[in-house]
Amino acid sequence: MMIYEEYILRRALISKVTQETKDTYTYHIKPLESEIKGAPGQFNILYPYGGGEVPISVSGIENGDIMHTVRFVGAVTRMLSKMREGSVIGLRGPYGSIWPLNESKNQDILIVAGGIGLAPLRPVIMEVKKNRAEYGRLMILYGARTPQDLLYRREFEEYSKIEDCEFHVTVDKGDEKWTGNVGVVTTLIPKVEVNPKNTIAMVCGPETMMIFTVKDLMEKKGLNESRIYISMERRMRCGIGQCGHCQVGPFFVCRDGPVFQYSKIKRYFEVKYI
Amino acid sequence: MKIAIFKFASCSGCQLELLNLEEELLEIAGKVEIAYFVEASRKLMKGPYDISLVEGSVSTPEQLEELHKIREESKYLIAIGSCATAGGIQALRNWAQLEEYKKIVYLNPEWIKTLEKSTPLSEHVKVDFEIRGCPINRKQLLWVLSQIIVGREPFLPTHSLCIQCKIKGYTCVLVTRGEPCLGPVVMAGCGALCPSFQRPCYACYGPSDLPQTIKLAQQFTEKGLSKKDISLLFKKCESWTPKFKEVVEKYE
Amino acid sequence: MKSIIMMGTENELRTLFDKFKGKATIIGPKIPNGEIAIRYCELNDYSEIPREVEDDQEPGKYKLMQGKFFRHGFDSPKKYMFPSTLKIIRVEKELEVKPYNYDPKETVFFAIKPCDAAAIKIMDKTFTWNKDAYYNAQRGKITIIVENCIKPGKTCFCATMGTGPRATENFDIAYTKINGKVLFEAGSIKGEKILMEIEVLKPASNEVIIEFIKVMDEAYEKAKAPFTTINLPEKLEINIANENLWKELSEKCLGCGNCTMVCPTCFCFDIYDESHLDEHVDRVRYWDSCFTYRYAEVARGHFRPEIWAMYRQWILHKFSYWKKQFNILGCVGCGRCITWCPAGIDLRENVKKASIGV
Repeated sequence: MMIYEEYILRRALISKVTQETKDTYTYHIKPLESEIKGAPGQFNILYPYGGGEVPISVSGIENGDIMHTVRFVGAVTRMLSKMREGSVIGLRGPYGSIWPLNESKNQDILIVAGGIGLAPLRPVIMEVKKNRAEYGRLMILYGARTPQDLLYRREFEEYSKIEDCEFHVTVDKGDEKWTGNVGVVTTLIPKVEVNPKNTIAMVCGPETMMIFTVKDLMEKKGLNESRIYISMERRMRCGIGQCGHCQVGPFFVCRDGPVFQYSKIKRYFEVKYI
Repeated sequence: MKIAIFKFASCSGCQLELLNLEEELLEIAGKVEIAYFVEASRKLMKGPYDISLVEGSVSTPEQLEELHKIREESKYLIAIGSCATAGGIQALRNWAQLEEYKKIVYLNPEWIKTLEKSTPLSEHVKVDFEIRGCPINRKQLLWVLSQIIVGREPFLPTHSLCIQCKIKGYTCVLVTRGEPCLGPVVMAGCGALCPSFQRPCYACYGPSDLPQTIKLAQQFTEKGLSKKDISLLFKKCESWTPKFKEVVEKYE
Repeated sequence: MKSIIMMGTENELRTLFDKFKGKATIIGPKIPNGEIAIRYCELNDYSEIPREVEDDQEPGKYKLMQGKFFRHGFDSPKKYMFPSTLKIIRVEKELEVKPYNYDPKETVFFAIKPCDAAAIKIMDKTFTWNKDAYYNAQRGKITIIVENCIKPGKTCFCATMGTGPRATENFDIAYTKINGKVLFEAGSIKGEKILMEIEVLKPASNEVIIEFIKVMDEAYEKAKAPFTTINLPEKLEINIANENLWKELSEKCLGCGNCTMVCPTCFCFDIYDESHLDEHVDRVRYWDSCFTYRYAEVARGHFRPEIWAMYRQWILHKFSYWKKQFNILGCVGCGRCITWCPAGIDLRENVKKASIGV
């Protein structure tokens, strides 16, 4: 009998749920059947029973658990929102490309994230923290709509304390308690000093934010487009470059991406409704 | 889980589809409690209900009042059938003068208390989900109920009928017979019933998710259909949906 | 593959058909009861293959009439290689996952056209890069008997796409009906073995081969589109951001998705959950189309919300991206998307316009 292994879901246990924002939670998931991991940048497909599949990026690996930060915005994620610690879900993966950590050895790393876009970049921060000596300076620029929309706030102090790390946060709209930067994330770019010959930028956020960020990094910081990496969102259904939905030009985002070297995807990324 | 079934201005055909489920109805009854179903049971329970299936359009002031009450009492309000989702065949009167119609139809028009227009539920209250069709496809109803039982938000395809027709492997009546089939702009769901009998689709499921109705009407003009014929094609049980209305008004 | 053209009559064609009888499911052209189109379906006897019938195909039109040579209807071998709906997985409530058994039968495609054989070659590339087990299960069990196309239809352009009207690859046996004779050639070792068993077949004489060449050359001239595939991906992509061009080309497009459904190579699918009252869920693979609104939609946005962009995706995928993805173009020139488009949009004209620009 032929079995298409790729579509087989493996049972996994939700071992811990942490609230991040009003509608965003981080799920710690323990694979029960086989070891399923995921490198920084990759994603897994989560499946609440009968609800359909949803691709969610890996936001960390802790004690053998995979962390997935999920915003409850669609039918499947809203169904996930009802699942608690101890619930069993289906899981397959990991899929997709990874952030250029190898290429970043001895290089400065500039992370620019918008909103939930910090989730797939969190494992990069953790990796740099863990193997600090292997990388150059770390710069993290993070923006969200309001202070309530900032992910991982409990970890911000930890990020700041990473040796040789600059961490800047901004919000589009502050509140009474907010004393930090106000403005879109690109307003943080002038705050860091970037050596264009020695820096790798990793960008993730809404498409418009990425377009403006990439533009600023190239024009104002002199970064070559081959030193910029972005992580793209598309409707990823099968995860293996077969079902067609996630295509951007000749690329299957689920298979060739979601992390792309900007020079590679640029020609298509900048085209409207591609 | 408590289910209630209500009826406004309609022919009861959609409720009949529920009764026609026969075998599955027993299975449904085992999973949920049918708490209110005037046409099938004398046992009528009070709300609140988990799921209310509402058939029929809003056509009288009493119905409007009842609809608001149903909304308050229901966790999930599902409109079933063309009348409830689009105003139904009776929405044809929306283009006419109500008083004149009354005089033509009724001996004592002064006894008739009715709203100016026949409208879908969604014009008055928040509708959680719509099952289209005239009548609805009982398989779709079953699918929606089992989705809710499983705990997911209901989902049905919204693409064109053509896709369903081709998936089922039926020969295109528009291309082979030149029949004015509305399939290209109609939402799938019936299982391409009419094309399976080599008959053109007459759109009882209403517009698909990106319906190019004006373009299709233009195609029909090129095939030699008169303006009146085209307007009549779109002026059936889904005539009051915006994209169909557009054609009716342009071609009338 | 050494290709010696053998000559016989229709009797040998019947003999060839009968060789598969009872051993495999034979799929071929037929006009089922009540239908007014040629369909590919299971054949029990050679006599079911239509005779004295011809199809008249134009953009948006298909008609059967009396005649000598018929082409194909709207369905293609795709529906057997890649079923339109396929239950793949059963999930129980505690997430016990069981794959459904899929065990396709030994199948012979009999009297399919060269474009359809070429489409299987393209599917080989699109489905095997991930080693799609469902596709491969069927792929390992097929025999392809092609009828060369002596009279391409009005929507055909296989000559431009290099897939016909004479089959040159990806078949086991090809045959050609010419003036009461039937010429056979083998395209594989399997095909050669089968032909050798039919002893009455004799090598064709030079005169007959000259006749064959003449017929095929004439057919070739009839199956050309007003563009060539030379540098086509680059030519088309020059216009990738020319929104007005794509709007113009898709002006009549209804977004109904028929073109993608009848396309013998379109491979998009989605997997839905079919929940059942007894609390199990079937995960079912369905054909999907880049013309459905939900195709490029995500929870908080839409990447291709307008018809002109969907139309561009389809054209560029077939004639440009496909080449980059699978090192082959995605179109075989069968013309189905032209004939079966309810709006009668002529893909050939549009590819021409898009590759020149405005």
